[in-house]
Amino acid sequence: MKTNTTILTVLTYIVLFSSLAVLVNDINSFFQDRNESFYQWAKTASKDESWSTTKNALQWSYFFINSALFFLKGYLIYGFTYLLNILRELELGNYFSEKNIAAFKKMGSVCVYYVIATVIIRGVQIAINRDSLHLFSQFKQELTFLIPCGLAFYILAEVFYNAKNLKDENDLTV
Amino acid sequence: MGIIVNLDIMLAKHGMKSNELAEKIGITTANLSILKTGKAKAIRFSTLEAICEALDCQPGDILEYSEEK
Repeated sequence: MKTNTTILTVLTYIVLFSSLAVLVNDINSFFQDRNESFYQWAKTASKDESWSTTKNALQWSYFFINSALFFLKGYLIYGFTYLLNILRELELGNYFSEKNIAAFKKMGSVCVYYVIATVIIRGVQIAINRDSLHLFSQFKQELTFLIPCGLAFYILAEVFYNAKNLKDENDLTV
Repeated sequence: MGIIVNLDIMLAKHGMKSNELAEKIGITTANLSILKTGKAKAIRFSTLEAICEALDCQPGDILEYSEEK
């Protein structure tokens, strides 16, 4: 059991660090390559011009939307770090502890909040680009994977909550 | 209050100590303490039978129902 937990902990660390590396790489490429036009615009933009003029607003919205999406990806990775807390509790032999229940609930919440926030931000992005043809494909990953994932975590939290109650009752049966 | 456990009274009547009873009926002193303090959520028939046998009493001598909450 302990060997399995150790293997799972190592695998979780690998997955989390890989995800983090991918995110850092994405941020790096965003700031270095893909956003050159923004920098060009920022250099040439007139300071007297109001930020709310169409051209300026589009540039700023592009920058903020991408930054928000990066932030959300980081938030999702942070959510999955709760897996390490669960594995730590399993290693200690506390299978049905309050900490595990709380961790499952938090992971479920992170998944659901991520999807809601991403859908809103992408919706704004689509509205700005007027690119309604790719509406569903934009949300495919969130709707088909992360919503069921979040629900699964909520269900696991409920299962663990009931299991904890049963365990407590069993422990207090003389 | 619900169910009251009168194990202390029965132990005093028989001049027996908790650890002696725990040893006789084959449960740990920690579990006997849970039973004595009223923290227990359930009691097995086998445990009740062993207590009655060790203290030569009836289940009603050990357990009592009280309406006070």
